[in-house]
Amino acid sequence: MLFKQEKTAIEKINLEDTRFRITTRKDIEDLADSIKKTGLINPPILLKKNSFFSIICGFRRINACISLGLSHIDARIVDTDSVADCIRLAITDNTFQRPLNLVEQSRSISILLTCTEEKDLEQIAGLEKIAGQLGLPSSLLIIKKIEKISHLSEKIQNHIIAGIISLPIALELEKLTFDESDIFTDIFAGLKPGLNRQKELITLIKEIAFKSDTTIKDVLQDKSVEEILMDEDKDRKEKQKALRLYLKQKRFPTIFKAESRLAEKIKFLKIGAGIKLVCPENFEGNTFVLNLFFKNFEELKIRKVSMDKMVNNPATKEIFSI
Amino acid sequence: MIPIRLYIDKDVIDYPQAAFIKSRINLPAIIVEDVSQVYKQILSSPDPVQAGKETLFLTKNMGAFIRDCPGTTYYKCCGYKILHIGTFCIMDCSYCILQSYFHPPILQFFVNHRDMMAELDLTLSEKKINRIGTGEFTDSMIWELWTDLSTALVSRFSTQTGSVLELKTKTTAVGNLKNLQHNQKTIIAWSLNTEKIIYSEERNTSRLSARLKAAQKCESWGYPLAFHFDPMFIYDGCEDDYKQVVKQLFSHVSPENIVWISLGTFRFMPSLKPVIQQRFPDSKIVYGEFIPGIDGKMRYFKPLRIALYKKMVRWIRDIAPDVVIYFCMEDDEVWDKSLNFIPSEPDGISDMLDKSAKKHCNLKL
Repeated sequence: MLFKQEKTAIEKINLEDTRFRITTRKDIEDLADSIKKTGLINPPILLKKNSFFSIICGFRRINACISLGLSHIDARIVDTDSVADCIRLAITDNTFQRPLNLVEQSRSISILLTCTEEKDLEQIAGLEKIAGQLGLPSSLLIIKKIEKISHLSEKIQNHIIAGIISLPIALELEKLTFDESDIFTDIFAGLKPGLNRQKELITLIKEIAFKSDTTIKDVLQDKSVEEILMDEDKDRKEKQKALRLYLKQKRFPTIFKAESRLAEKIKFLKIGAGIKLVCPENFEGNTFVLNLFFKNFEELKIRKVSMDKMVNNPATKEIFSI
Repeated sequence: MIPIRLYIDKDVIDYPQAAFIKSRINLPAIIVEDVSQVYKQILSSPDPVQAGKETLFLTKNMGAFIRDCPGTTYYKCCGYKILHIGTFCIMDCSYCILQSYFHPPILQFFVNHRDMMAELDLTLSEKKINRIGTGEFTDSMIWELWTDLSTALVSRFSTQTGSVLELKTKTTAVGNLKNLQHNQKTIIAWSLNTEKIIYSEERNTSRLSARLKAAQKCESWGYPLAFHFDPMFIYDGCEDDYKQVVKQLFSHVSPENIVWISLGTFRFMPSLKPVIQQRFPDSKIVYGEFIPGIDGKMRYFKPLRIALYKKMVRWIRDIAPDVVIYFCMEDDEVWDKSLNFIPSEPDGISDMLDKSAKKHCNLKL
């Protein structure tokens, strides 16, 4: 591809045209500082259309120059009529300079896909090879997943960039409406739960909504949920725990009730230190386990006394009938 | 739903059964050298499960025709034997485990019947009662449209006195059974569910009333009957609905002709959940109160299962106090709390069912 380097008036550059923009960074201070001290080392690449220019590469550099009050900059003008060539140029200019974040990768794939009419990614001949050559992931499976990020709201994309939302969660959110996914995003940004907890919360909420013929928004905007999230006496970990418990109670009311009843009964027994009663997991098996912890014979005798007390307590029997 | 593609394994092209089916099904046959060709076609479909239901593959059973029912660890099993005639189904039940059991699922019919009959002869010559069914990896009666399998099996079982064949179905395809000499050695069984579940979860199956009318016909032809309330689902109003099914059942057939009734609630491998969510987006069956069972399958929380079983047992017992009821894959506690007894180990359930089979099917060893 041929380039012509020329001094270009900034006012002739169409800043509204962001077709080729890959970068998600908007800050320009460090770049402006650098340009001020050493000048524009790497000129942006522009596409001329009539008497105006579109930016292919160098969005931040041009904004930095504007912030410095420059009226003209050195630019490389690409000599092509092919938008596809410009897209490839925009992508490679970014991918071969630095690792792209997920949103930038998604933008790159989305822009690349504008070169074809075909909507089904699996039908695009050589997509994996082209993506690989441009420095993008070359597996169709990954391409399909990453492409979906560009359909998410700006808010979610920002949280992906900030590392609050991972790709698996982003893909879950992509299945929801903008409103719903934004509410989840707010919760995740506030409570910062780990990946597994995020997954669990999404599943619980989706299933509660589906089971009770309401919407996800209704579940999330439920008064009890709001109270938990707004509770100023709880830190984020406590809020996470409270929210999870509340949702589990809604999703599995009978199981939750039985577990609570069992916990209460065990507490009431006051089994004492050094003895642990382990009930069948999920109430499914029939075998109960009693763990005794002791360091010497004296402690063993103490445990035996506690155990005898437990066996003779009529409340112990009730544990087996929950 | 009927198959729209017919593949025939090149090794079975000259088998009489393959020719017979080909003449009945009226589809151009594609002869394949290798099963991977069929798999490839199915897996390239956006819905491989649906494609598997639409693709009939005639081939040879390379393994055993008669197998022990796999059962699972911990839960009590009834010692059933499976006659492996083919795989998958043309009906489309949301909860069907076969959707995620085979990779990929494919409507497959084994045409090496000479091998099957030889193996069956061996089993039937054993000096023990065998309860053998064809409805584990497929529906027993969907093959009636294109094959004469049931006729052959019913006739074969009628000539011996030690074992019973159970043909388990959700269809009404019993016409071919009418004039067969069966000597009561074939039990015709239906899987029953509430109208609501049949309507929402059992696509392309017969309505409840149609199943019961078919059962009535079979009873009039002298066949012993069996019914399977499995899988039962817990939903708002399910108790009234199941009670109604029990009532309807006994308004169609007499308790004396029922060899057994099994009860089982919905359970599934976790891998089935996404399949159901994708293929049946309106289905709510996976959103019940499930816990991971000891065998790795998701099961309704035990107290919920027991509550429903107890009621079912009561409703059945109120009308048919002597009918044999058993649970498929439940533990001692469930048996005890729902049926007030625990079958002895290791063969308690098996003995109970054998005894009933002996009585209803006139078995003699």
